[in-house]
Amino acid sequence: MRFEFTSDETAFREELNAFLDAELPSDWVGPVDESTDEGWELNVRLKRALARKGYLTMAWPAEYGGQDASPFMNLIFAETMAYRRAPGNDRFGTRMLGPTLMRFGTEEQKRRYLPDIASGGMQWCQGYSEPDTGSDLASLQTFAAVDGDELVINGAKIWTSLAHRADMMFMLARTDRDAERHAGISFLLVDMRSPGLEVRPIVNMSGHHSFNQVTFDDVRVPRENLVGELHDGWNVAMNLLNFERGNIDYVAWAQRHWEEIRDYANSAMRPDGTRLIDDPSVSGRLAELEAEIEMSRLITYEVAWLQTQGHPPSAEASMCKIAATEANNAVLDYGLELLGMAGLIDDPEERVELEGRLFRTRMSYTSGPILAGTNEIQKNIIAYRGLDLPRR
Amino acid sequence: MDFSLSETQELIRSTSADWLSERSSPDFVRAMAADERGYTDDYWRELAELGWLGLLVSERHGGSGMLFSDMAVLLQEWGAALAPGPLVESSIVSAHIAEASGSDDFKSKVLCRIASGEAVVVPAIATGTADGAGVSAHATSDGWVIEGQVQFVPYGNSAGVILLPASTEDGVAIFALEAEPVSGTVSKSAVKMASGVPTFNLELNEVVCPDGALVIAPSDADNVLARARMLGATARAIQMVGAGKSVADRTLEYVKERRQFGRPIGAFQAIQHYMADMAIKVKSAQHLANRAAWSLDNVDDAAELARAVSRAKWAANTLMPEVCWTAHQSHGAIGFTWEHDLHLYTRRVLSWRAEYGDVAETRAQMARHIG
Repeated sequence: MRFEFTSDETAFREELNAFLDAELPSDWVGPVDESTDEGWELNVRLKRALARKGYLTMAWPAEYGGQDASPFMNLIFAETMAYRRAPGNDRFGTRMLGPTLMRFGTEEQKRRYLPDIASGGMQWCQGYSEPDTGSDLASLQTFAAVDGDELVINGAKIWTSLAHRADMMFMLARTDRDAERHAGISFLLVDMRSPGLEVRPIVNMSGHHSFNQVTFDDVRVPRENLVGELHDGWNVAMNLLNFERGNIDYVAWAQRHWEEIRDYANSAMRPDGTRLIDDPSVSGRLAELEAEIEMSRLITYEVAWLQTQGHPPSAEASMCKIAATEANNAVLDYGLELLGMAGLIDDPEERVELEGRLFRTRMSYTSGPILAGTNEIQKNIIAYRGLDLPRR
Repeated sequence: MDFSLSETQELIRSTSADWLSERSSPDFVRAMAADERGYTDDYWRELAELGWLGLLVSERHGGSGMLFSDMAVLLQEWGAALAPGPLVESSIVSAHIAEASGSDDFKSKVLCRIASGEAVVVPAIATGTADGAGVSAHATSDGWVIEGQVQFVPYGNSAGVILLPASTEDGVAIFALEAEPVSGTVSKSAVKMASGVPTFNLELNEVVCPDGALVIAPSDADNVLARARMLGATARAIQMVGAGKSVADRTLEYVKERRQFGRPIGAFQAIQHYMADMAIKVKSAQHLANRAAWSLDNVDDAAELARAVSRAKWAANTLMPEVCWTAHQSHGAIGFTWEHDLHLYTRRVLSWRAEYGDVAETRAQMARHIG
């Protein structure tokens, strides 16, 4: 066992931090507000700069223009980006669709889309959830009818992050209503400018426009936009989900939030002139939370290590999703508790001080244990795949 | 980052798992929990022959001078099997104190006997009440006169030597209390403990020890005690993880077999989520414990080391009892019986939680390093 990074890995973290120092505004707090044009432009600028340095596709195989970077280099990239709350780490394109196309895509699809993903020139969004389809993804009803060389899509997707900014969507649609429900689904690539496709914003509980409803009214897609075989989309999507769950972002966010709250406790004074941190109940709780973050970090590191050993993460990836999203929210909850009224200031203009943004941050991260498979679904996955418990 | 065992460690793991599954059976564990000494001579001799009692003892003193991380692999199996006997007390904590002693005489006398199993050496430092506060030592022309009380000394009846912190004029020092002092009395009163480990409260009345009894001088005692406690804390954390893992494995097996409403209870989501929670808790505590073990071998920075160890013990302290209680709940009434082995684990886990840093102490230790 070895609980430290190699000198190459540490050097890469430093290099990336130096790059971000140069690229991000000097007073950067983050995260970016993609709903504003200014925020979106910064996101695009960073994404392209990351692409030019080769960081964005570092983990891709060399034959697709990547560097075959180790899972740990990839992890350090994601961890550093999340810790800095830097925009531009395009998870839909480089981390989800890219690897999926490499495995399931046709030569034509690879040639057509991978270079645009790698250059940061094309924004993707993910069309999975539907109004009546949340955790039970295989119940989806959006239908794509084969019509000669085309598929004609009707239905609706919901909670679609960045649909209002995306050029393309990868989506799941039912293509056979009579087949067993997992067997009649296909994986499709859809141009967001297609006639009949409409994007309506949804404002989340923090007051922020981050996701959307997307409706399809006779949207026609060429058959060449099928990824994998017709009706084999479930298989494609399940491989992609595994890729998504192994990420370290929540660990890094939790760490950053923890440090900000710790710093607040170090400087905030009580009326009797003592600092918050001098109260052993405060320093003790902060210490516990830091240990909880560390646990989720080590589980996530283990997932990366399993990948270096050629084991695709499965139950372990679910464990780190649960541990990291719970640690992050526990940290934010404690921050709100500690800041009292100051933590409840909800001023959209206030982006620098912890007071003013902590509340909105906690509201936003309510989504952590919900998205990408709720934590309860993750526990089911641990039970079935990791612990071999019966489904019924 | 590397989460794999070395070849040596893999060998220790498989050898110890095999040996313990035969030698530390539930029947033996139960018998030893009711036994006056808590282990048998045969068993202890076999452990010595396997080389495990001297794993951390330096080679020049008859041991094999291995890394703590290697011992950690044995300790997880040791905890998983609830193996009886003072391995942590004698071969880890006391061995460290003896190695740190400035007295070559003491070293050469004690270390090879620890490794060979001829002597069991027990440190009286596992709980906060045993910090030299209740014991004082004065230098006289006859030697050291030691007086006072110390609570909860494990295996105090079979220990050939008890390593005892005591306050001197110059601060706390560590003394080696032999079974037969020159004069005075050491009265040992047995305390029946949840763990079944033979445990004693000691009262020392005008106990006279030779000058050589001072084995760690006041100038070194703080550092030696701090390191000894970290070794004890990490060892206990690893044992707790081993026990927690056993408990989780046994419970998983049970919920797959036990049928109600026409299906295994493990098919119910309420039970499945218990099982998933247990798996996450065991994995979390295991990673922190392994990190602490690795840190003891590799980290020089005192604050970083203290942070790794206190986190490991805190995590085991808080998570492993939860795993045990959830296991009882998942077993239903059968897990509430004396006959079922589950409570043997719970008793040990709660006992280990209280030693070498309880929840409040480890939380306070972590809090000193939050920056």
